[in-house]
Amino acid sequence: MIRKRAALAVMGVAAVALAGCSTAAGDDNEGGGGDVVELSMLVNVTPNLTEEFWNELVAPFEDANPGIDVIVQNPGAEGVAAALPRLLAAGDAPDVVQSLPPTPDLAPELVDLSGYDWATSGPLAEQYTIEGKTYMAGIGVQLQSLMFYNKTAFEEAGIAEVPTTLEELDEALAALSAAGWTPIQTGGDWMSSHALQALALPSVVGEDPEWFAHMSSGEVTFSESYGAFIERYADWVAAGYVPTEALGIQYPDAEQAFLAGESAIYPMGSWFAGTEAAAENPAEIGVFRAPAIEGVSDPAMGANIASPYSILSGSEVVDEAALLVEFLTTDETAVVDQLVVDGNFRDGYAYETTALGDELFQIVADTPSSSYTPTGQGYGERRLPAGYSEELNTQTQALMGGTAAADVISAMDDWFAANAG
Amino acid sequence: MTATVTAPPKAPQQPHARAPRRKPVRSRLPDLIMAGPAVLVFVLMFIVPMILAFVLSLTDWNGYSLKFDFIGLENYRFAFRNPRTVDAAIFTAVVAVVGTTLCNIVGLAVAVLIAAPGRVNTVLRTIFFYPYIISSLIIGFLWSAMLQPNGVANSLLGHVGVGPLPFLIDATWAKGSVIATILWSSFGFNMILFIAGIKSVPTEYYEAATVDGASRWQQFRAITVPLIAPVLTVNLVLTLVGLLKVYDVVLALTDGGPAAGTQTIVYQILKDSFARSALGLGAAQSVVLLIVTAIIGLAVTFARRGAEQKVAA
Repeated sequence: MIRKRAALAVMGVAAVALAGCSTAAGDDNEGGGGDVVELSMLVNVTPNLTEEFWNELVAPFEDANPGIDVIVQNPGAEGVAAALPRLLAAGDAPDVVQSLPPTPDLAPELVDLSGYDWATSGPLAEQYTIEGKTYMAGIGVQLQSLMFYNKTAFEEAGIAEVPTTLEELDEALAALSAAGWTPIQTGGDWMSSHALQALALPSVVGEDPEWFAHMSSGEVTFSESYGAFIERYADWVAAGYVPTEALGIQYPDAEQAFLAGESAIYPMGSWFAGTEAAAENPAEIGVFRAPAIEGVSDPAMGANIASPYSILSGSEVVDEAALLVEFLTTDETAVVDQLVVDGNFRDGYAYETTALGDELFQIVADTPSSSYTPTGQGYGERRLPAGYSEELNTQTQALMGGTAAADVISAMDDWFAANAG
Repeated sequence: MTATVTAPPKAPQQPHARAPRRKPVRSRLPDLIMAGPAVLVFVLMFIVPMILAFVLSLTDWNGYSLKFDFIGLENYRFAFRNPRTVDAAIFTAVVAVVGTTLCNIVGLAVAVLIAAPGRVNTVLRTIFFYPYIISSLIIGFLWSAMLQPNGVANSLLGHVGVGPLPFLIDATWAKGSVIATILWSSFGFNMILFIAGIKSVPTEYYEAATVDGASRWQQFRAITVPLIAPVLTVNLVLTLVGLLKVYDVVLALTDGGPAAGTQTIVYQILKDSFARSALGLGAAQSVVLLIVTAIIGLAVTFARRGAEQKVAA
């Protein structure tokens, strides 16, 4: 086994070395030695989730468990998703990994947490199961199918009520455009397809809750289920509701433009509330659920798990690791601290927030868990072929650049034909 | 009146050297021992990883599990049929050819202009070389901010009644933006090598040419270019090989967009390896890139060597 791991380590390094990619060294994991058990935890370090934040987060746990020392591992610029395969191949995997939702590929390397109530009763636990097993526990949800809006823009356009159907949204966009506003704020990079998914998924999954499975098996084609929404988005682009210039705008600039009141509607995830709370003098902003077409009784709500934790099956200190994950996902202070810092939400874990945050809490409370759907490539057992998110984003950018809707739909059908099944 | 330029004196013809007699193994032992560590490091750090990468390219390894199956050439088949990989390979070739040509033309032109000693030239050399030592990611982010629809570039163009231009919005313009950014950040390296080459040319040749009435352009063509030919070869190979691996500028400047129009082959390899958890596929593409790079590098070297020998003759 050790030989195979060593061989895989060299092979993994060789693969990235050939591509001219550099890798960063991880910390050593010396778990299990001596009187004090060392628990290594590979975490996502961002401007919000700093190393200092992580060390302070686990400090109460270490105080309560003097025999456990939590070593926070920073993957650096490489990121958790790239660092974990390398660490696994090198036989140097952490005990706990954060921010990496389980996938069928990753599941064999994770501890089955189905026997822990705190894991199976956590947010989105059921949606993330793989073959009926729970491999992660998260702290809350990130809502995706949301539309933040500029209240001044809506007022000036004479829109009294937020749209509750796509047809009403079409009317609102026309009114905003006529009032001289840029109706939709979006951007390049990964943002391009976010607005399209906010437009389509509430209806597509609302009408066919098994859409992910049906697409993967080839029972339904992209053109049959998604085509009408590509055409609608193309109409929005043609009408100028989605400006072509958005392709050249990066995420932080798009966010700042909306905060500064330069656009009317910003399809974005719930974490934007955290940004709005930290902004100086933002425009007056509200939020509504991305609507579905008329007749869809239960519009789907795109949602991802916030800060999922998993335990690596190679860990020699699984019990201690489980204690840590339980603390991180159930201790009220620990959970709220994590929710606040990244603008996430969880029913029953309230925290003081802005008016916008309160609106989001209301949406969380009003959304039945059955409405939650994956976005992008999906998760748990509701998954599309690998590479779907990137392809959809690429095709959305083509659409925004002037490619005909029919060509985009046809390209997506071809992509599924080549990659599904 | 046509000026004649005196050709550089040829090196004296060496008598046909006799092939050295093969030394007995015992007397070669010290050589082998001295070279051993370097050979060992080379084998361990380059040859073994290359072989293992090739082995990995024949598997469906996802990067996580210890279990994988050998799937023959399936990864290669998929890579060659995948339109994204093909498009990325074409764009990489364009970047490599156009980028190498421009970097060397601009680098040589600037080198000729500022090769002479002097304070101003020293400052100019520093300024032109400076972008080369900045991280490519920083350069990408910097130009991305400047080339945005509301960025500095369009703002300045607006003052003279031009634009706004779709630097990062239109796929063709974005490709041009990537190449221009690479040119801006890289030609300083070519320039420094060319300056070193130009400074190594004996000044007597230029003095003789001046006496013969040769113009600056004639001196450049008949003296400078032939005598810096080895530097040109090095510059061409290094730039070409470097640009075949270009990734970080693209990541920061366009993130491969719009509509995947600026994805390079290394960008595609990393995306497939990690975003798709297909390390085997990534390895297959890496092996192809390695082979193509080696072939192109060798072809350019041999072509240039032929040209150099022609000049020397």
